Amino acid sequence: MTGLRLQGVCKRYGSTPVLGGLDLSLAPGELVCLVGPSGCGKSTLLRLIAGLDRDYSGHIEAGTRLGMVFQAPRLMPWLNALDNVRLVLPAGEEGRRRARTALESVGLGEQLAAYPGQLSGGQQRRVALARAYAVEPQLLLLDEPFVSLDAPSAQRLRELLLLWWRASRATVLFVTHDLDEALGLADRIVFLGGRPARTVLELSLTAPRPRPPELRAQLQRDLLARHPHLLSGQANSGG
Amino acid sequence: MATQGSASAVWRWASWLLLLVLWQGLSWWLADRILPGPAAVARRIGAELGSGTLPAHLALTLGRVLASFLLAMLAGSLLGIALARWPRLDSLLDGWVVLGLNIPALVTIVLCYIWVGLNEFAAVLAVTLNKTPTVVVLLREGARAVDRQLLEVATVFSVAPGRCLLRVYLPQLLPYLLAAARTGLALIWKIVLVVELLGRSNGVGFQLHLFFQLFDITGILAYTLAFALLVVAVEGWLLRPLERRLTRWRL
Repeated sequence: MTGLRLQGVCKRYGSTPVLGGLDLSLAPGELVCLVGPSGCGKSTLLRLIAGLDRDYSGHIEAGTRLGMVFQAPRLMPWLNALDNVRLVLPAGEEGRRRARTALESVGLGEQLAAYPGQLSGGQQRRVALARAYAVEPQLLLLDEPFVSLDAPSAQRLRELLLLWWRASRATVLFVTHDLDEALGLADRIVFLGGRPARTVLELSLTAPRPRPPELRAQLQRDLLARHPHLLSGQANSGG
Repeated sequence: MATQGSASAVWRWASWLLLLVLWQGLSWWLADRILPGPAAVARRIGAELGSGTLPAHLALTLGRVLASFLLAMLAGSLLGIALARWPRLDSLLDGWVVLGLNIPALVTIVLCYIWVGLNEFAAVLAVTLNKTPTVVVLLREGARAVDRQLLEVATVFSVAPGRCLLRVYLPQLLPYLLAAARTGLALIWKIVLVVELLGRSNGVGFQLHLFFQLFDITGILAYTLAFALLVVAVEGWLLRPLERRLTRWRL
């Protein structure tokens, strides 16, 4: 089993440094949330790990089988739900079976033949999740996947994610700017901040999931009392 | 929906009927010798069909149309995609494309016949050269509009290149390919007739040339009508259903 290891990863756009020597390690099967203010380089980091951008320095070691859920669902409008998932699977009956199972696991067993244009925003995101689950990834990357969904839909999809993760024991890196979401999901939260971005704080969470809203609110209050500027990317030293 | 569809079909048929009536009226007014009526032209088509002359010439012309159509679509698509992909190549060849778009068909045809000879290859080459630049321009536009975000999905999930081409890339180019095909068909058959008139001894264009020298207006109209109907049939029974099938997902 491989987790994920980043050593001294630097990335610059032209003369602007975005990531300044970032170190990050995920144990196999660990669920880590990456939290930071908008535009701090979280999405850039995911693109480097996913191999979509190879123009960086430093070292990235990731598992071979990769799944990813983007900010937008990014489905092919000309393929129905089943074919969208089959696109990333081996051809033939085996691929069809796995695609169907993945779509059923996100509750879309009845919508296999529907085109993305016929599905709601939440259903499209479910297809995108099913597509990532179906490849049985060793490493799953999620880039603010539930943003712009209504709260109950987002909550259902988070529960689905936890269910899938428990069954698969894949390593998960989940990018979000929503601290409450991170507190509900993660084994460990890594806070990014500064320009260029670096790790400002790491927080391990041991409370069992699902974590009720009161617990999440309590955790958030404690954290922000110690680091009032955490969400704008600053932590107090010694905190 | 159904009544709306059948109402539009009625209007479509009415427009054809109106054309026939106008044609007949004009023919009476101008005299049969100048403009033969629909009945005379239909009789002539029947006679030429019966003797086998019309089908033979139609088949030759259609073959030339198809050959140059396929060649122009293939060459134009590959070149258009390449120009969209490599901006440096685009800066190098863009001027040539504009030049190609603006060279009169007649010039290409005459030069091809002079340089290559009065043969089939020169004929098809001339038509292909005329059509290719418009395909290049359309497909370059299409390739530039391709959604990189969807291609990234294929990269992340390691989708095989062949499958990525068929399921991710080409579907985005499809509207542009169809536009190129439809405008292409209309343009190409007109050029093919000129090519045949100038340097072939068969085909619809050659026959028209013959009828022109004999002042045989009925013959000219019969061949033109027969070929135009064939093109309309290809458009209506092949291209349009294909387009509907391929863009089913657009709801």
